[in-house]
Amino acid sequence: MEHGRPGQLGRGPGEVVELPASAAPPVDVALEELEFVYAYIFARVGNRADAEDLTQQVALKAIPRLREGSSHGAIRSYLFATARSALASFWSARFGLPEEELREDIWVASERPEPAGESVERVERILSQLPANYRKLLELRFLRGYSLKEVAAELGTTLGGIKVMQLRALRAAARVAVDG
Amino acid sequence: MGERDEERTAERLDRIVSEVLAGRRLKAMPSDAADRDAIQVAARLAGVRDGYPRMTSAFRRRLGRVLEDGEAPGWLNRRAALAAGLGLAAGAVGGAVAGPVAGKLEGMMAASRPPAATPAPVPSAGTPDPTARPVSSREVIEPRAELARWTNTGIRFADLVEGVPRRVTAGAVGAFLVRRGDQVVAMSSVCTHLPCELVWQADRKLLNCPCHNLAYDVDGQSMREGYPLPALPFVKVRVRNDGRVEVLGT
Repeated sequence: MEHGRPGQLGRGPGEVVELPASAAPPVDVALEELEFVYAYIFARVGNRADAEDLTQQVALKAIPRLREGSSHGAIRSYLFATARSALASFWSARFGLPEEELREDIWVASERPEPAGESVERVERILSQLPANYRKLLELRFLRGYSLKEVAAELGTTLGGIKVMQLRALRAAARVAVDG
Repeated sequence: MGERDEERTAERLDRIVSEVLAGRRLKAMPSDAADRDAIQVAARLAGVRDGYPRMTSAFRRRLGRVLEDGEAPGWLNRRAALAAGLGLAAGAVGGAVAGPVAGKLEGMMAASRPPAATPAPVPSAGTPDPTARPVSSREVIEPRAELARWTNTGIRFADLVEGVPRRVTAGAVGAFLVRRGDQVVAMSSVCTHLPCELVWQADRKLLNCPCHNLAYDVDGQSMREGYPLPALPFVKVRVRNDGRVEVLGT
């Protein structure tokens, strides 16, 4: 579609092409945008089941807007705002915290959707600031899909030891993310 | 943090990480801010493992239908519907059992035996009183109006044995019928975790999920400790005047 696939949006101010509302059926426009919303959410919750649930919620809330014949840009803004709010509710339910507290949280807050690859770059930046053993553990476990047992074998330690190391590595990564 | 505390936290965090990496829902009950940050960074790391994530084609089709129909479909889970402010028909165990009248049972989650159609059942000693359970909201399976129809299961109310589920199907809806005194309750026969058909294990008096070895009691409540699963949704049920049980299916 002319208005671009997810990941191509928002890369630079000149690349977001505003189409008239009649250029494509609203449902198709919304689905294209929801693909982008899904990726945005997946990058934050890390699993398909929750990402699908949250994308559903966003889609349902968008229905009245679609019926109003809103412009593509308006739909996009609305979907993204709704996705942020859905994520805030998601984390607040998981953590038993008020939503307002999470809305401004570093993990939820973002002025605009990130282009594809920015989530990956952000993770790479975090990993690059960690001690080598933590980085290796997290790369094997999260990016290369190793089981904890396989990670333990690779790093020459016990399963119990690797679990504690995983905890420490994730905490270190969180500190880097929050501070940097 | 003591060494044992750290080990316990590490163990707990790894359970959450393993579930997320397996594509399952994130279940977090963190105790402090450090735990929260660790879980969120774990979700971020897991979120980039597939490069650029895309919706599955099946999910995309379903979303398209939602947008076109403009309504919550049958597959929508309760959490999503509530968050979207749509509201879902919900029954309460206590309220659903209170005083339905045969012949006017549509919409009830539990149906009484037909008047004078069967001998008065004698409640067995020690039978749990359904009305004594805590009132909790339960999802209710209700097929779309144009597809919904009452299906005669062929099972007579009088033949149902107290507390022993009977599996029935009504088109797309699978259910267990459970007799509770003068009432019959119908609930979904599909596990609320993964879509596998539950199996009644008479010796253990529970409904077991063959996919993950999770279990529900005879009232459809999850027996899992820690993070209990949602209870089995109710299926609408009624008893005909001839004593046969009908459920609302497709």
